[in-house]
Amino acid sequence: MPMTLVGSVTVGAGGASSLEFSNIPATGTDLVVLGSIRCSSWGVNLTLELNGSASNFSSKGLLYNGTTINAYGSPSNWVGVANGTNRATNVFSNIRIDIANYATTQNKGIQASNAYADFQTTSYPSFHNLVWSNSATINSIKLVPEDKTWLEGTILSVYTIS
Amino acid sequence: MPTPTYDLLASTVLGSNTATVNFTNLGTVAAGYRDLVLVCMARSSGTSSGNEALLLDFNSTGAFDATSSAWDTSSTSSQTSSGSSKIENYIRTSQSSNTTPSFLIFHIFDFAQTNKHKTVLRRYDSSTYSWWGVFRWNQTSAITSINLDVEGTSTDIVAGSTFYLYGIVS
Repeated sequence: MPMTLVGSVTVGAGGASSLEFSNIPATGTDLVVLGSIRCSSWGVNLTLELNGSASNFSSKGLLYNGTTINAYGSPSNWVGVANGTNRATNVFSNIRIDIANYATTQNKGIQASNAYADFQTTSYPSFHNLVWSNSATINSIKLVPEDKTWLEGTILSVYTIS
Repeated sequence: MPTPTYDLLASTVLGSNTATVNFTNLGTVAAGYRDLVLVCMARSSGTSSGNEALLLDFNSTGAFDATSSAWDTSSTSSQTSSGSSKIENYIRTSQSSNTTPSFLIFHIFDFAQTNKHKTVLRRYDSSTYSWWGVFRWNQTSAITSINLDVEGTSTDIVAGSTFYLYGIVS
């Protein structure tokens, strides 16, 4: 099977402070993270931690806010934006993260695409290209919503592609 | 068990520096698939600049119309072009002992259809910019080969670079 589910979590009524996948097998070529996400606040910057670390990232991010397009280099592990309790409970953001050659000794290339659903009729897209300058195999992935919590209905899944 | 719809069709992992990478006989290799996705981690052996063009074409013929956008950590830009025989992708080189490759993804739609021009979505990063782009290949013939080569005549794609071609079933 070329695309194999590693793990999936759905946040329940109590919310969750973090979403992390550990013990990712080193048997695939690439990793794909897919999420339907919502936080306890809005406009929350989402950052990525690999193998428990937020270090050794560099990034170039592009965000369209409905009026202008802006480019960003920080946070260096920034992968998207999530909406939250300022909007109706059925409004979620989405995210996709691709990580190439995650089990090799090369530095890792990462592409993230995100649609931050803020207003009732507007979704702000963002694109992020990152490099994780680390030769280690990736065995854990964590998506961090600043100091906020994940809300009920948030779903995050990790797949290997081989 | 559900039918797999995202299948690895072919792969190339370079064991030595190589000038070109080719995926051929796609009419056979990718028979029954609708779209192709090419995922690359590639670096040039060049050292004279930070980035070098990795050129992609279909069937060694035809021409592309393109719209693309680039951004770094503070600015954005966009460009259009028409009539180029290849898609240009500026990948990282080996300048200053760099070993980080560029990460490229090409999504090629309806590659085997003979009643339409072919469209491509592409995204990648270089040492200076991130890029996304949309392309139209102006041929109705099916895509039977995908060819990549670095622009410089004295430079190669370095060993360790990887190219994975996936097929998506309709």
